[in-house]
Amino acid sequence: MEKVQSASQNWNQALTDVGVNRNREKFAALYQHFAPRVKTYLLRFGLSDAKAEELAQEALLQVWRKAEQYHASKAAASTWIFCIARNLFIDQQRSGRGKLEQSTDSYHEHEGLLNHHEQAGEDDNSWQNSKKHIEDALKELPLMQAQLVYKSYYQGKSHSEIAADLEIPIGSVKSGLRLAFKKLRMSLATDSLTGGESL
Amino acid sequence: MKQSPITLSQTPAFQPDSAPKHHPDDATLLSYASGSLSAGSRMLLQCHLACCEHCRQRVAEAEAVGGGLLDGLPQASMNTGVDDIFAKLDLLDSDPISQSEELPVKRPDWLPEWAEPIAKWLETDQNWQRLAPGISQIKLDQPEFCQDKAVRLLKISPGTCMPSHGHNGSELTLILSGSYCDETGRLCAGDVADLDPDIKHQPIADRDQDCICLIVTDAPLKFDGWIPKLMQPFFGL
Repeated sequence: MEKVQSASQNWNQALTDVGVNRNREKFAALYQHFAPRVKTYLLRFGLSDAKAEELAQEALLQVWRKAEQYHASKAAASTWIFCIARNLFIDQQRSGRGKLEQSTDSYHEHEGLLNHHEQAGEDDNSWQNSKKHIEDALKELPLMQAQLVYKSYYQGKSHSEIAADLEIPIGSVKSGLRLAFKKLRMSLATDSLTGGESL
Repeated sequence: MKQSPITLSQTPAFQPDSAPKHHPDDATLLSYASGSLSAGSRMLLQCHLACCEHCRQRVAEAEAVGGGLLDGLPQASMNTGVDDIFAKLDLLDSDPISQSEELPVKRPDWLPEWAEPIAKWLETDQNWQRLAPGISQIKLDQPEFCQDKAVRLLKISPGTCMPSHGHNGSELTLILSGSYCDETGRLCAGDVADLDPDIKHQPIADRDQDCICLIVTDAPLKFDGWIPKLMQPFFGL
């Protein structure tokens, strides 16, 4: 893939092309980039490898089917795909046997994975820049706040579940998430991840 | 099964009489976007978002954080290659999307249009159940709400004073119609009270009409004084 100013906008364009022309080449690129990441996302929730693979595929098939509804002015491709994956997970939870087996691992066990520049660099260097914003912002958070963000986004835990996990009051969970959200939001405001729309 | 909307920014806005002034905590909006709210809280947020542009914007931002995080994830190994996927696309394209449209749900008169997500959980002839003088309720205890401590609709007669209480966990209240006042101000249709556990409050329904609200709790309320405590098992809140 050619290097242009923003890799994120490349994906936005790719997804737009899939919506407009049913462009299979662009879809293949989206699939290769996002399906393995969606699978990782679903694995973090404690889904089995087979189930995560199935849902990751389903997510990307929905991308194909619903691409016409995508508007780059409203959200970045990654955000749009994140929402599809999240909704699939919620539906799965709703229809499945209630709560999945809870993972209790913590942010720092995965910290190494989040700082995976060498892995990310392998497939596509142009990705570094746009990803860097959110990763940097996450790394700059105090460990406790990063932990809260991690448990919310990657383990699907509610405030009270996080409070029980970390043995801290619910009020601290909420104030920590509030502060973390504020900082992450600021890092995104200067980033192209929002599809160029000013926040 | 009905698909959840992909981004909430696409949700049409149904306006209550005026834009909501009391909003969920940013931490709650973030948890909504990350998909980590219980089913009851999620339903409550869906209603509020349908009538609150401010919070839709916030949720879109939290979803953008999720998108950024997704981008940064390491890649899991996939057993399915692009070729297999193309085969599935062919299949999909030859098979027009089967719309499993849910039947339109009948909405009771007292339920505003933006609170549509609640309607499907109400049985058609569901009656309000009297709880205490001036207070009646409808309990939503479907299995979908098993993660919630309690999901219920309360109808409070004009001028009724609720017992003062704090919370062990979190409590979300959405005003569907009417209004009430408590230590945090006056809450009207569309407003959400998202109280931290350390806040005690004593809501008083305004005098002009019934106040109907949706309350989702994830831990038992703590009532003050011995009489409300005696009533606690009865309230089941």
